[in-house]
Amino acid sequence: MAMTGTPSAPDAMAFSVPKDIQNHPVRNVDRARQREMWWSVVFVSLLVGALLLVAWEHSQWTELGYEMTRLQKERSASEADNRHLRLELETLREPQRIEELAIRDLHLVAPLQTEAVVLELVREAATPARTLVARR
Amino acid sequence: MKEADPRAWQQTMRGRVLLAAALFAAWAVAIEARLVWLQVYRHDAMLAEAKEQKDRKDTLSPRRGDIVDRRGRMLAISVDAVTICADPARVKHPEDLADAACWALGGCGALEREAFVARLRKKGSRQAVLKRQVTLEESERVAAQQLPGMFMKPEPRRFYPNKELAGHVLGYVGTEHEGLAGIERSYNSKIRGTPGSLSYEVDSSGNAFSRVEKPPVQGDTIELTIDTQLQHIVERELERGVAEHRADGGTAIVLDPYTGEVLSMATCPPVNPNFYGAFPPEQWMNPAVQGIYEPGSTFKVVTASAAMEERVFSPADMIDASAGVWRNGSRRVVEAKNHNYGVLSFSDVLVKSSNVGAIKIGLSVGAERLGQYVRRFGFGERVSGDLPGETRGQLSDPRGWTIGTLASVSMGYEIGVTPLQMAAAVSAVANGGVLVQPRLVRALRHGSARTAVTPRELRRVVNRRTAAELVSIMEQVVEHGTAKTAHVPGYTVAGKTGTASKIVNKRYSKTDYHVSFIGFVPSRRPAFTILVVIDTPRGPSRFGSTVAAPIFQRIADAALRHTGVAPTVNPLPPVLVQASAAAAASSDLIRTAAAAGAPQISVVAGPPTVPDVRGLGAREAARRLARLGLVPRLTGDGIVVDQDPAAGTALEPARPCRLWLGRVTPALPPSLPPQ
Repeated sequence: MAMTGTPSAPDAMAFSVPKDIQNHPVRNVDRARQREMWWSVVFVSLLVGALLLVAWEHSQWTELGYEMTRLQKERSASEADNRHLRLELETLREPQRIEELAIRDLHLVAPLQTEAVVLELVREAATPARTLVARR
Repeated sequence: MKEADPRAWQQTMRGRVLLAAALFAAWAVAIEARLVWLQVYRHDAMLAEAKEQKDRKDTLSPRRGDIVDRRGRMLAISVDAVTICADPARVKHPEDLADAACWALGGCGALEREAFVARLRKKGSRQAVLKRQVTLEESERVAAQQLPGMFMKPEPRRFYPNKELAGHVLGYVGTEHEGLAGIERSYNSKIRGTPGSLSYEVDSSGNAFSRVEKPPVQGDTIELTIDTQLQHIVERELERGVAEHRADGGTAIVLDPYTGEVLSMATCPPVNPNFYGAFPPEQWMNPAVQGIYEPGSTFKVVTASAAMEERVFSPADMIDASAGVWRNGSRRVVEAKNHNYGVLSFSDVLVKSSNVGAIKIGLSVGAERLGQYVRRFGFGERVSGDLPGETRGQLSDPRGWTIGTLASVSMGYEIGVTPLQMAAAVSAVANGGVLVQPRLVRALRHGSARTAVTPRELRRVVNRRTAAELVSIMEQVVEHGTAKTAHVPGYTVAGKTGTASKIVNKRYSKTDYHVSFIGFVPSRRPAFTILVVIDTPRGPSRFGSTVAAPIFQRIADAALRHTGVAPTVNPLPPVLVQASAAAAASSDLIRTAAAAGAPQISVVAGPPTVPDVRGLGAREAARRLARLGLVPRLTGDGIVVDQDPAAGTALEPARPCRLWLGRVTPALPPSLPPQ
């Protein structure tokens, strides 16, 4: 049997291959290998994705750690400011200071007994033994 | 010519490959060996080093609880101050850094600089504290220099914004935040809180991330019974009195006789807890609870109580105090100013403060019974316990009393009491005969929960009738007895003076005295028991009536005005206060008819009218109408769109008020702003 285009030199390989197949070479699809390959691709992709996710998560976690630290510092600073301001307020409200200012700067004097009228007897309401109070 | 071997290159390549493989293998072995060395043999050391570089752990100091007065005014507060630290591992030149730090801190002595350098040289530590609790300006100057390895750490510092006010009561805290005196010490376990911890990692730049925090538990806030304004008044008047009479010092206590609340406890000379180190330790002693004095004639109240309660005497019984002298062997007791009162009624023994009369009363009561009453009034025991170092006073066993001792105790000698004991005892007379435990703490606040400290009645000391009779006698002391200077215009005052010689060089001095006055006002339903004790006045007059009673009078007058206690003698007619129509219509104002003789405030305004409830929800509208006595009748659902009677109509209680509800928002009345 001779191959097309080489009538005079019979090919040693040619004899066992049908002519139609020789002329139209095909490769049989190995379905198992293909499946394996796809599984591998999927596996590797998942692996890479998971690694990226872990890396991203770690990065986010670190970023959030920085952010949280910053916010906590900010909160602590605000609380410290608040307490400093309260201290300043209480210092300014000191009775001795107020009295000195009233007498020295405003020239106020305590009213005489005949000039003062007591309007109301202050009786504080009894506070229950256990109560909730607002926090400042 | 020899033909080249076509396979020679393979030999060459093989050799080279083998060489490369050997080198690679050697490199790999070296790397592996290094890894094994680092990770196996030096595992612990490397782990420790890594943790050292990356992991940080801090103790979070709890903020010490605040101390506030009965009206919530701050008396002690902790705020963040700055402590300057350095990391010795990052400091290359300790001397230079110490110089720079000294400059920023406004200069420091050679010793301080040397201490800085020594601390900076301790390489094992990551934190060397250079200076604690520096001022804001100092910390800013240090920060501005950006010194390598230096950092600042917040640390709480205690401040007392009212300076000397109630300094002895509050006490102070040391640099380790432990209470060392006063309330700060006695309630230290409540105020200090519980430390927390903070674990975190840092990157190469030292920035923190990944924190694990166990927050500290903040200390309780202590709510005192002290009234800041009243405390100021008492301290001011006490200081003035001490200065006027050139005395060594003084103590004043204002007590609520019914609850035992100490409204004010003042001591002169005062101390400033902000600078506690500037005062000698003996000045930190609080004489109100730690100082013992012989009360003198103020103690005759106790003697009289015992006699009346045991029915040994009634107020009208007569007692012979003639000759003005009592003799017991070689001992001779005379009346003050060598008076000779003759025969006195039992009441007049107190009114005129007769020593001889008091001795005769005491002798009639007897040592055993008088001793019982002395103890029942709280002498010889710690009455409060809110302040550290409170003393029991000095009281000997009555079974061992001689006639002389009994005579002395009857007129307030040979017995040591604290001012707080004395104030508590007379408060028992003032409140009808019950000894109430005096206390300085009104409530504890933990977070948002407030736990009140309830008044504690220790025991009944005398019955109501005896107490009432004593009040009457003590009123006479102020009206026409030894304490006329304690009279407060407009109020009935009951009280007793006392002048007791001090023991100097084991003998009773003829120049140094404890002069005192104790009283309560208004006498029939007292708001305050006030005790004033002045130590060694050196003015021309040295009696309780001339030194302590006027101070009492000024304190009582200001305190009554401050707390709005209405006059009890010829009270003014009720004061009418004009209220605005809007206030009258809208509110729950104002029924402040006070008890016992207080003026009544009445609302003088137009008649109340039906409120405008349009635009409100059905429930809120019904609530408002029901509060005014109207009966709401609802039609439909939604919000109120119309009402009958209309807003502004005169109010007729129990009249039905019809409300139409709908889903359409009605036009708001002009007085209401749009939501």
